[in-house]
Amino acid sequence: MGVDPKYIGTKFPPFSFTVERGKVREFALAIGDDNPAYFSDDPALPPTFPITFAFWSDANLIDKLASMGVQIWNVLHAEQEYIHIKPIKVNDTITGQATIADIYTKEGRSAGTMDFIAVAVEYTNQNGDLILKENMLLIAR
Amino acid sequence: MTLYYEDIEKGAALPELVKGPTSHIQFVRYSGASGDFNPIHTVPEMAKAVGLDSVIAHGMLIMAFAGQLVTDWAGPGNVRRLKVRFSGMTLPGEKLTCRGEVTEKDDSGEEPLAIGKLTVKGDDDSLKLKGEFTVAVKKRA
Repeated sequence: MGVDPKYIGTKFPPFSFTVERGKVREFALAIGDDNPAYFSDDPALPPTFPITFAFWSDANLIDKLASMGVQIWNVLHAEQEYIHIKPIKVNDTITGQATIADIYTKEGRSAGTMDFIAVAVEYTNQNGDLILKENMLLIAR
Repeated sequence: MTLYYEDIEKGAALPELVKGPTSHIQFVRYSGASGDFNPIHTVPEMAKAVGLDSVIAHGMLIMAFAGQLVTDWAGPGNVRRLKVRFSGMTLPGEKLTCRGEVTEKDDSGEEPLAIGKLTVKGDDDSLKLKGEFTVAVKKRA
């Protein structure tokens, strides 16, 4: 298919999400982690909880990818990285800024080529502190 | 039990974590918790339409298991970096084993760190993901 490399460097509009206690509890239950730290009045967050920031905000990353010609059900998630810089607490309002960091093509092992899309997201809290970096590598089939 | 920097040995294994068996219901639940409603995780007809035998787990659910391996050992809130490369798909009914190992210690920065690598494997020893982690650990007073 081919994803146009012209999208490299594209910055998407910032998106925001306020961390809720019930969401943390729901997430811990869904992953089957009964650590009491996630169920307290002032819970810690599981390290992969930030996946909710993009999916439960108005980020619409799936629509943004679709506008680049990438359909979500044809996307494989190749790599995921979180770099936690400062603690995130319940009631924090997190703002994410996503950038298309790279687009490149490789020959597949079997048939055809695969398009790799690297997405980098930087997250700040309500005080403007950089709290988290996320790097995502997607493969469009 | 507090984990102390001085007690961590390079090459030491993290306590193994067994998760699952996974289930279609868990994938539905994780869709709701994470906000990732890609139908290949929840709608069997859609999964079959894209050539899969059944719904498959979100890669991020398996990454959450890897996160639990690390937080069970180092405590929630101490994870500074978690990076994974996804390898194999996970089907409903699979039991997964998460293993990790310390590869490095570093007390040259602001806070003492333990660095390591991890894997999540299925029943048949098939690799689901491999990754790297960095956690902050206390020093004895």
